[in-house]
Amino acid sequence: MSMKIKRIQINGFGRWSQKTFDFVSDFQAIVGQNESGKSTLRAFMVSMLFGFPTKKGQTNVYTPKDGSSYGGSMVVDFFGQSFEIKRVGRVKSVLTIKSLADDQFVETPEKWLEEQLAPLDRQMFDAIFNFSQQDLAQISQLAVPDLKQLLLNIGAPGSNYWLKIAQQIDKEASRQYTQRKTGQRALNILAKQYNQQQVILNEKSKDVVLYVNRQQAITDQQATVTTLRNAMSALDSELQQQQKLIQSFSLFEAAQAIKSHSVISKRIISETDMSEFNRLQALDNIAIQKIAQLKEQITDNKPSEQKITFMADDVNKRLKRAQVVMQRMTLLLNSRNDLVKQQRALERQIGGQNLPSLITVSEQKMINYPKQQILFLGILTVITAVIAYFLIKPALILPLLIGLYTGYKYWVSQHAIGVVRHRYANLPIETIQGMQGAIKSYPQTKQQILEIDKGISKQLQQAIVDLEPAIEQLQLSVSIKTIDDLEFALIDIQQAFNHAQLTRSNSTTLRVQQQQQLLREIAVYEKQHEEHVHDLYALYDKYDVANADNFKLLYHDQQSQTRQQQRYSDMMNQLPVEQQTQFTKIKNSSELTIKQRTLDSKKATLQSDIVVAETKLSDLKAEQRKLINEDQFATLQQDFMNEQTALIAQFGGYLAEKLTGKWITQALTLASKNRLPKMQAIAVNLFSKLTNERYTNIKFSGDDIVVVTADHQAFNIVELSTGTQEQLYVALRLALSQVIADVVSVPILIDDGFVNFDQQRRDNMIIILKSLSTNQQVFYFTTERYHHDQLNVLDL
Amino acid sequence: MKFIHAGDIHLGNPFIGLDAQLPDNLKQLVQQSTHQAFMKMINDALTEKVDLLLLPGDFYSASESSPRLQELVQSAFLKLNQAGIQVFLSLGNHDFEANTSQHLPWPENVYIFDQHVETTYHTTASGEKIAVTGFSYQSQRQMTPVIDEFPTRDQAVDYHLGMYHGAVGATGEPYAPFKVTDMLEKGYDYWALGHIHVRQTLNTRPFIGYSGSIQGLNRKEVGPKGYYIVDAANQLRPIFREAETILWDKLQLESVKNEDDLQEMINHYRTGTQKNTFLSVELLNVQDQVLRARIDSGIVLEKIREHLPEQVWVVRLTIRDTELRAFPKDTIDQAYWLRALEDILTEFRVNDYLSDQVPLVLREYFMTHEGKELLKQKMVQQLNEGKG
Repeated sequence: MSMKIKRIQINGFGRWSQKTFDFVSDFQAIVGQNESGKSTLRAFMVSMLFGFPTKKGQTNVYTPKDGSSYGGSMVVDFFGQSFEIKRVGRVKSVLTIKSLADDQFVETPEKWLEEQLAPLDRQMFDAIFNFSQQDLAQISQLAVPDLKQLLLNIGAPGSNYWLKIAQQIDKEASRQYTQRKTGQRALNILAKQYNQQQVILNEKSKDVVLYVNRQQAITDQQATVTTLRNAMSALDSELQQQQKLIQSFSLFEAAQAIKSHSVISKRIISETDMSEFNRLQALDNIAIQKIAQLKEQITDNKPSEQKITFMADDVNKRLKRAQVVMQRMTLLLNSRNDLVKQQRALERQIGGQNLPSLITVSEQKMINYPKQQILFLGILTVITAVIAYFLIKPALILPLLIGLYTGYKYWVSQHAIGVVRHRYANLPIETIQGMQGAIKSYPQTKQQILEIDKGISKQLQQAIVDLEPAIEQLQLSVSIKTIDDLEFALIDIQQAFNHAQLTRSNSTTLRVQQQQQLLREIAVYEKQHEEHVHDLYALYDKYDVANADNFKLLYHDQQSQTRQQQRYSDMMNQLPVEQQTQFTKIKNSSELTIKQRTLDSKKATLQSDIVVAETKLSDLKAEQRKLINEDQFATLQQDFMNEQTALIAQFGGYLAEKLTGKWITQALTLASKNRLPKMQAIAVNLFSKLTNERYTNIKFSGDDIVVVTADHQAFNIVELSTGTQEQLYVALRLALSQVIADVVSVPILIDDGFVNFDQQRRDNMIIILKSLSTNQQVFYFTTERYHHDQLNVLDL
Repeated sequence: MKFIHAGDIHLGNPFIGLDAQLPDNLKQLVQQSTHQAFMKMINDALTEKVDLLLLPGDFYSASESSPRLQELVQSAFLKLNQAGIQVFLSLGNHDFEANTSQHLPWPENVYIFDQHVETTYHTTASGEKIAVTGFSYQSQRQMTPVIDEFPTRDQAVDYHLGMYHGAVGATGEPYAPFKVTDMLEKGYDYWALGHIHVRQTLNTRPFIGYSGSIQGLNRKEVGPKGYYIVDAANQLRPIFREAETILWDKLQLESVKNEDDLQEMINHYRTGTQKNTFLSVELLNVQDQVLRARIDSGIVLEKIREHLPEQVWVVRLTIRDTELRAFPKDTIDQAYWLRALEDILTEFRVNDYLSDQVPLVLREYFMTHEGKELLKQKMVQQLNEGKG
């Protein structure tokens, strides 16, 4: 792209208004004093290409001072074609571009212009083609790396942007991590945490030491338990032996006891003698038994007669007593019958009625009253009637009254009699009166009869009781209930008794004969008995014993001793010979028991030892199991590994950012280096010309720029004078613009850049710029015009 | 004569590359995975009535152990002891401390090889005489070619077996470097190798090779894993027995248009086994900027994990750019970017960026090829964001 500015028309921009500048030459010097508007003009040119500066902070937006409308236009040649670029309005700037060849407006002016200027933007334009004394002055103050950076900026177009990106990325990275170990940035903290976790994991891995040691402890403990168990079973068998020994010893002791007790008598009762003894005893027993039996029979016969006699007397007595009672009762019965007869007669008079009550005293009075009284009153009545009749007739009333009273009395008397008679079945009153005594005594008589009945029944009962044994004796079957029964029973008893008496006298004779026979038999048996006894005593003498009991005792002793001996030998046979000899040395069983007790207590101790050991073992095993079950190592390890993965990602991000920064710089370095040889050559040429060939070379040594003098002295940038630094800078800038001219060729704007140059070098500079302008339009803004004769000068 | 050859059992090895989202049941399974694979092998040894069990190194994953692990190993070896199966164990670069650190006493059927190459003899139940030659690591490195110290075949035995934990290489390389010809010259009947986790045959007859790890330990150890069962009746040709508990697999997807498309593709994934599968999904050249951003932020992975096929867990979801993308606004030549990237990664020394406060494992990781690849990926992403 090749571009030239042909004309500027300013409507209003800073101090300029309604002003037109035409540029005909390719090297245009614009001369003016301070404040004459050089910088404003330069700013207008840039603004036309890249837009007006926006009002930010201290930026000068060049508001027109006289109130003219903001903006203007610029005629520019792009490859020989003229276009008018017009920008109007500060806040809402409007861009129009018109092709002057055909007066056609460009449809999308922003885009069109951007394309024409590409790859330049304002920043890049400023960096390469537009500089002032300020930029140069800054250089002298810049540190070497910054200078280098700036040179790098120029070296590759657009690098400024990239450098900013690189800076930004690097800054971002640095926010995450710092190499300072005390740093508290995110990744520092994560790294620390990771290391801590590593420590935890290492700590955890020591569990295995614990585990292995404990496993050893378990093995040891198992051995201990086994040893104890073996000891236990040894002790158990020892104990069993000891118990057997004790049992054997008690057997031994028992045997010894039997041995010491057995005293064997000299003469031993032979089995023959013993059976003879038994036989004799048995026979003798029979004889004795027989004798006793016979004797008993004899005694049995005698008392039976006596008993019968005795009983006969008794029966007889009872019979007599009963007969006396019988007579007495007959008498009583008779008197009773009389009393009953009296009663019956009375009852018959009354007529079978209930016995009426006795005549009361008042009734008696009324019954007896009339006879004398009525008689007296009758007489009195007559007398008084007569008297009255004759003496005082009116006095007749008196006898009338008396007569009436008498009549009343009589009626009362008759009525009472009627009542009584009615009670007594209408018997005549005299009879009734005569009966009064009998009625009065009736209850006593009745009582008498009852008492007699009681007496009779009592006596009858006594008689029956008394007779009972007799009836039984005579084996009669009699039932006595009444006196009559008794009477008949007495007769029966009498007869039975008589019969019994007769029978008895007959049997007595027979019994005497039997007894004689019995006595004879007894004599026979007694003789036998004597013989037996004799034989037995012969046996007793033979074995020197006193009697049968002793003989039997002797035999029994002998028997038991034999048995004991058998037992002894049986017992001793159970014991081994060596044990027998061992036992003979032992005094008593307590020796053995003590030993057993010792063993027992040993066993108890051992048992508790085993329990303790086994508990310990199972505790150990449980702990071990717990350790395995709670083994988090694999989890921790995996977590740790996951964290590592995460850290790799995060640190990867950090490193990538850091490296990207470097990458950008490196790429820029490479890019600038590519044009560097060309640029270097041009720069060397320019720098050499500028410095009157004092410096003949510029070297890029690594990151450093070194300038070399004609006599091969090398200087670093900082070692140069301010003027020379600026000359180097201008040389590099111009070289750069030359070297990228194949890509982009736009006017160079230099605003009073050479104040620190001496006259000679400034002149050289002008010559250089002039020669450059054959390829590229140059605008040189300056305050001085003394050597501008050869230049196309625009005076402001 | 029959034996099992199982290198790199890595008992108790945690998995690398999992995140905290892993469900608890799978986490449990992960912790048990090497144990279960090991027990599967032990049971197989018992049912197959093998005579020997050859463990050429990295039997344990690390010098750290745990009670549970100790118990597991002891009880397993005791079982083999009861069955009359002899165990030969040579220690590798991971478990070189197994015999010196605290551990339960080895059952009497376990033979641990010494630092120096030694030959031990064993007679099988059927009367075959066997010589086994091996050695154990004493540190993480074994720079010398230990193979030189191996004796030539003992002609007095029926079978001579070699156990070797190392890798093919030249003297000075860290894992007992050897050449296949070295081994062939010894004249042994079988070489049971350990150290390389991928099943590999270096020579067919006699067999020289790796049985590989018994359980995939990270996303790079994909496919079925297990051990070899070797029978003299089969001319000592090893037969692979699968034993892994969790299968690692990877899925590379191209031309994924959007998230639904991706979900669909993952749902169609089948391992062909009944095993739990840990799947790493890599998307090639994703163009959609929004999708890229969602994948980078992990949102897509989270979404995918909500609708996974049975027994599949997506461990990670990444985008791989096969080339740097071009950026229209960029004024710097692509060639500069690429060269600068190479320069940066070549010059990269992790200790310039991370102090020793950062765990060594991490610092070491970023110096590995894998680590650098990760950084490269992230840098490209970062730059792309900058460019955007």
